[in-house]
Amino acid sequence: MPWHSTPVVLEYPASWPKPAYDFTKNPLTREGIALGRKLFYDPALSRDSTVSCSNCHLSYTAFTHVDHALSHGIEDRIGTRNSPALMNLAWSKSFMWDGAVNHLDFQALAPIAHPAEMDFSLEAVVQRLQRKQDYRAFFHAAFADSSVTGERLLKAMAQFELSLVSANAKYDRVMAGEEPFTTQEQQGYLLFQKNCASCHTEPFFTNHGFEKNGLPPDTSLQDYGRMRITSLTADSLRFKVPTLRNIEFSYPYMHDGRFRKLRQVLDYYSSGAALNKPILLTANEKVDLQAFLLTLTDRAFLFNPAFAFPRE
Amino acid sequence: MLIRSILFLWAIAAAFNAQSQPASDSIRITVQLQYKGQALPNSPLTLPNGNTLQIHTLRFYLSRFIFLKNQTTVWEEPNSYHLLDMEEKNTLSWRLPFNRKLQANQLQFHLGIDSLTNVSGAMGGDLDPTKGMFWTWQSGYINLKMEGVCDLCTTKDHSFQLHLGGYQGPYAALQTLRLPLPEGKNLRLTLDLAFFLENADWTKKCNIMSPGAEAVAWSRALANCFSLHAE
Repeated sequence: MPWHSTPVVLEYPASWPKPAYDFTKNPLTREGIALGRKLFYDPALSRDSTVSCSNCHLSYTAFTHVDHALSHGIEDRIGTRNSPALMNLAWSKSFMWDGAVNHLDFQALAPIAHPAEMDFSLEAVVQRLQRKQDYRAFFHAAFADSSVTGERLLKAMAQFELSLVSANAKYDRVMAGEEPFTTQEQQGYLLFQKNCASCHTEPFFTNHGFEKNGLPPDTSLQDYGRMRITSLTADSLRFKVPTLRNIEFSYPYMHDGRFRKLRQVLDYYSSGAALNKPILLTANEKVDLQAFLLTLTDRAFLFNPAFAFPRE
Repeated sequence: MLIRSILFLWAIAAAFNAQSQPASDSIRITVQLQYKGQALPNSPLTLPNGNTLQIHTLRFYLSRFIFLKNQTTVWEEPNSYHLLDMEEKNTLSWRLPFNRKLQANQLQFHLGIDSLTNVSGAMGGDLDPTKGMFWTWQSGYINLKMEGVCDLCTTKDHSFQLHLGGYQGPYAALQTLRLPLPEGKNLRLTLDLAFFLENADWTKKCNIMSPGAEAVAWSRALANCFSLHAE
């Protein structure tokens, strides 16, 4: 029987720009996404087979590690950064808090190899999976060849991650003219547009850039962000601007997870310590802004069974 | 019957000849790793200052082979990525389907992987990240890995590790070489490490594991160690 795969077209609002990801080099297929999902939830990617990607990127909490300021890997080793939420990755050109990864295909390499995360290597993962009959079947379904290779593994994982589109929050329905904001949400939206949108730019609620938000470096972590990658002093303490979509579920906040509550974040930005020009907000305005931010919660995304653990 | 037998033998001989002789429309390139004109030894070599040095690992990318005639490209190797490994002899020689009739007089290639390939996502073959030539903590190919021991290194076990790479300015380590193309059926590309090994200051820097000015400087020095000969 000839090999056949089922093409998948990434669905997103017509008003959104075209994705940055080049799908011609890795066309989405149902089989490729299924393999990527299986890999994403498989602890076999870690050295001692105890930790999968989903340990730090839980679907129900916007694919981040809820309640953990710093994520932990195998043997309870603690990393140095808060795990980022995963969504709308097809529009990102760089990954990780410091932009160390230049392409979604390569993103999985970092946690697999990091000693505080999976402490393994792509070569070892490939060898391990090659011995598993079920994986050989999955790879054949996705790539017409049962051989496990690094390229195919990374592309399949990218396919699953690309499928994680969050575009059905109340905000999106308001923008589509299907629902109105409440008065409070509308006031919060105006405050957002005036004070936050230059970095947390619509519709992704990030400008995909690296910014300084004034946070002093944690004395134990000594993390200076993007400067580690570019060696430019101008990049000291610059970190990737995170999306605000599903922020209700993606706590704790900031690159080191230092704020547990959204309210703490707003208090920080309206204090004199943050930014060159603090965002001055009254107590009522903070409430309004928070009401708007809750309209970015996309329950259809958070509880999409297609993104959850694959029960066979 | 006799004529048929002769024709049969002639056909076999012709077929055998076609297989054993280099095709006129291709050229074999063989990379030789040397120290002072001799094959790079598997044992410690003695530097002019009396110290010893041994290379345990030498792996590097050569890519984008282009033949030029009077500065103009006449042929470019498709999918031109070659990972060479001193321990795997089959990686040191390959055939290029280039026709000598094109009368090229220069050969150009990269030592390393170009920036576009570095940002183009996962690839297979010699570019597969399982080859151990891709950084995991920061995206990018390692253009060249040289590891070994040298008396002069003050590191643990006197080891040195040179992982040279980086594709972004100002620390792009890719080197482009353009060498005169000699006459001859085949080519021998020599990498003689003598100048590089003898002029490196092993007392100061024995580990380079990330992009930067040093990676660029060492890459330049290595690029100057190549020469092209007829075989």
